[in-house]
Amino acid sequence: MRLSLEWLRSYVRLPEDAATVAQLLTEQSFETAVGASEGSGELLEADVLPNRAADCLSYLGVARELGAILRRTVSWPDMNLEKSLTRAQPPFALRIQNTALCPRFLAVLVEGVRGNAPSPAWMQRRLQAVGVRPQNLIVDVTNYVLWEVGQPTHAFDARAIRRTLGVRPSRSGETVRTLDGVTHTLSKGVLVLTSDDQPIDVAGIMGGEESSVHADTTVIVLTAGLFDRVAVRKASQALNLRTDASDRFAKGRTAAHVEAGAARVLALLQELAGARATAMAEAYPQPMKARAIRVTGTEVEALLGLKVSSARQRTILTALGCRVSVVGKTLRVTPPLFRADLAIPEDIAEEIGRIVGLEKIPARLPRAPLNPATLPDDLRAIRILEDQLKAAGWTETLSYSFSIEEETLALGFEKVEHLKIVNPINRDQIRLRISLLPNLLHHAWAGAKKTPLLRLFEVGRVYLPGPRTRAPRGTENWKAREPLRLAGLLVRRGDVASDRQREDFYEVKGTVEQLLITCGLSDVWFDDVEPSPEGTFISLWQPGRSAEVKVGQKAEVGFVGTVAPEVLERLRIRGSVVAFDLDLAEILTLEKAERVYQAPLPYPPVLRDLSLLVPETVLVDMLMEAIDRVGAPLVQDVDFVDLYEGSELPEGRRSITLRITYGSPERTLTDKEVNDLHRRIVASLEEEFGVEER
Amino acid sequence: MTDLLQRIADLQAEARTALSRVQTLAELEQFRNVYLARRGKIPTLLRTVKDLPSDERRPVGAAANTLRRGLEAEYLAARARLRARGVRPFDVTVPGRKPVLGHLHPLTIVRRDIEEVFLGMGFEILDGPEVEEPRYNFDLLNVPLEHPARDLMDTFWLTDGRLLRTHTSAAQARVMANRTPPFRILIPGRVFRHEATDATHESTFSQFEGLYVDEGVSLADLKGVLGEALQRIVHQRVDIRFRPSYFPFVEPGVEVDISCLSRRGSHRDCRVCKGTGWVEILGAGMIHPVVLQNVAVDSTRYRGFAFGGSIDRLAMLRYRLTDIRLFWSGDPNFLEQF
Ligand SMILES: [Zn+2]
Repeated sequence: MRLSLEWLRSYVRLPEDAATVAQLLTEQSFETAVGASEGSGELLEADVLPNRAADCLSYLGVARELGAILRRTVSWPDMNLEKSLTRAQPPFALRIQNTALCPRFLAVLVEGVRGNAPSPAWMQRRLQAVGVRPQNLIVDVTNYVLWEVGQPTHAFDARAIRRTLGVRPSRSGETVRTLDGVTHTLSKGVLVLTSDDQPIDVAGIMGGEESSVHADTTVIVLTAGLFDRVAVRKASQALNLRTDASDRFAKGRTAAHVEAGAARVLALLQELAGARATAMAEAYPQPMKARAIRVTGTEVEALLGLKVSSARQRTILTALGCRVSVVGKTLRVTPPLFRADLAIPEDIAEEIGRIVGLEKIPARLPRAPLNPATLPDDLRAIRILEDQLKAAGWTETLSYSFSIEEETLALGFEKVEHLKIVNPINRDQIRLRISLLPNLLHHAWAGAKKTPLLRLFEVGRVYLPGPRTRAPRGTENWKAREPLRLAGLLVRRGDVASDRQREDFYEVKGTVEQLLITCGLSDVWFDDVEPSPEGTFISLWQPGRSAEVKVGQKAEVGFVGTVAPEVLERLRIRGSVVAFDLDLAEILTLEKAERVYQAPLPYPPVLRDLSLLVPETVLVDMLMEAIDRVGAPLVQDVDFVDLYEGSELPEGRRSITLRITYGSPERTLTDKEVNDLHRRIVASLEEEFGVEER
Repeated sequence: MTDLLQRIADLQAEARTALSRVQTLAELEQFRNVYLARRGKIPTLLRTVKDLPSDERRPVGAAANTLRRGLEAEYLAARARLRARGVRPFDVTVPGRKPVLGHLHPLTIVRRDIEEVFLGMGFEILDGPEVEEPRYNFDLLNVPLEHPARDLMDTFWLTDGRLLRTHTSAAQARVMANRTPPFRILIPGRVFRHEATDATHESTFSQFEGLYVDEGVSLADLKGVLGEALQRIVHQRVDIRFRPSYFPFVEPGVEVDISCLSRRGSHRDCRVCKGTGWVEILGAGMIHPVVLQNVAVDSTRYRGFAFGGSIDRLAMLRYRLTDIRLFWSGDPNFLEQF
């Protein structure tokens, strides 16, 4: 809210410096900055907290705050409704259809005004300072009171009000031409003021043009009401019409405002124009009752962690408009009706704390039981995997939880069910991701424009569709619906030679193997990716160059492979992409191999390389398994050394080099022993697979 | 005897002159052959010493030995010098070949730091779902039905009536429901706001939420814990300021500022603190008794504090980052700086 310091100073004596006032309010009430002053005197901009909107979206509210903070008296303006009150009935009846939406409504017949009289210069200046254009005395006074008291009021030309003055929700298709000259066609349920059931005003937002004060107006009907905040907010949004009045109603007023606002308008009209209230009608079926809060001074001190004398507590509460009585050690605090936000002892403690000054609260470290805290297992594992990937040259990225549309479509993922957003801001927020790969591909390809080779990974949740369940509190298995995945891409820009692509595949596969070893999984194996039906989840993996990652007999924990050229084509990616995508949640639940020490070989092992010319149908795995089988127990280990597929090799053959480690825990093996066994192994491989030693 | 001593002096002068003319390793070898090798002039001279009368042997022998050791040292030095001349030196200013290392995302780095600090103070680390029921995001947190955040405007809603949590506070009720006081909990996680993206606004960001429930907890404890934690997180001594604020799930509610981290003397034109000397860092307060009652914690016996802050904002402060969108850009030029 904009505040003119000159206006504010008319209620309470303030420090000279605008910045000091702003700081006081910031530290004790709500954030306030010194505003730009262009000819309108010094200004403050207060960002009034939502729970303080009722009392502090008004000059009087802010003056009350400053009075309490500075311990100075506030000079309140004349706003006693009793004084202007008249018992006479106006020539119209009030008809409030839904008192829940309009709990209090006041209408006063005021005579002796002139529609074309201007307001005094001081009032015009103050209105201009807060950005309101002066018009005529009657309208200016209602606007002035909107800012001063915080209650919007509206003056009708009395001629526009016939036998009944009503408040009701609109019927669909009704029209009102508002003061700004716009004719609004209302949908159902917008609160309107009516004269003989005809809408003449959009309640709490803007008056109608026809019923407004004109130059020849001499009698007005001044109205003040409390309108439901949600109803006004929704109407204001629906009509795309925001006004100072609608802002205040949307942030919440109280019934107390209605009375204070009307009284202040009447007092000003009387003072400035000699106007007289001649009749009044009010609908206020359920008057608000003041509610007392009981709180002890010790309770307040315990919450704040700060000693505040009970006399000081009482002074503060009184300065804020509360009635306080003391019963033994208990304070009985009755907040003013416009402070609906004060309801429980904690609210009272807050008032005392902030007026005493939150900076006075000491910093203290609590004493607590020595419960050790440790990082949960899954978070610890994630850290280790992230660090390992980093050390292997991979860079972490984070992407949105929404699935980026272009990549989602290119992968054909849209045919798979996703959780969907009702109100996306853009097309990249339609679906929640079911895989990390679409967004990762998006990042990777954008990144590849800056660097020819990129290794990118992400650890993140995916969001699985499924029926909304309402499990009892604390028993929902939400982790199963938002499983963690770990995915990565190795992206190489441009035309990539076949050898290079193969090397990239083995690098990514090796990275995955290393990650799974770190996770403590033994028994990891790689299976061919089954050809998939068109348009399912796995069509992104290029057949023949991709593998499914499996653990043990059943668990499928992810994929590693080359992204299919069709997918890259659809995304206009010129390069090669090798990806991995792991079900991290599943991996972390799998049983870990026991890490039991094995005695190191006491005798030096013997290493023998074995180079073989192998038919393409024979896989490395098959050879290694056979060597283990034939060479037991002296073969300690078989390692893969090299694979070669040059054109000078015979058609349909590859060259594979393996390294066999021979050894025994009992003795040093003799050359003859090793040579014999090595020959037996070669002979057995020749017979079983048709390989030749090179 | 003086003759012999004179010869030694002459030989020294001669050898020195010869050595000073040496230009190549071959010439140096020649020099060694003439003077120092077994049949060279100096060993030959030394061999004559034993034929001298006994009273002359010692002074002459000493002089000859000094000459030999001196020349040998000079010879070795000359050899090292000549060998070095043939060696092509390394340009030690060429950048070393670093092992290829990847990078962690800055938000991961800062989140880990935050986790470590609170782990050190005994906070358990937990999380909740990001696709959340409205009751956890709003109702159980005492957010009134008419609160604007419940509008379509501020929240991403799912077609099935759930929503993307707008704050990590949504996990409060979930984690508290399974615990009996005293407890202390930290919830770091991803949250969502229905906002158009610009340099300072993002639809997605990450927060951390802290909860501390015990008997006799006060705002002073909150100030103490946050003071200790924040200066470890920003790696700098900072002052803390509480300002009144409002969140439906705490009462009293405060905004927590830290003194501006910018190291310039005056903050008048400071972009970080906009001239105030303070930077807003967290929302916090004493847990509202209704929230405690909602998770069956006896609010007459226990009180607690809660705080929540943006990890993204702390990362922006640490790295002086001005565009929040970079976090989600995947741009390698950005990611490779961390
Ligand atoms: Zn600064």
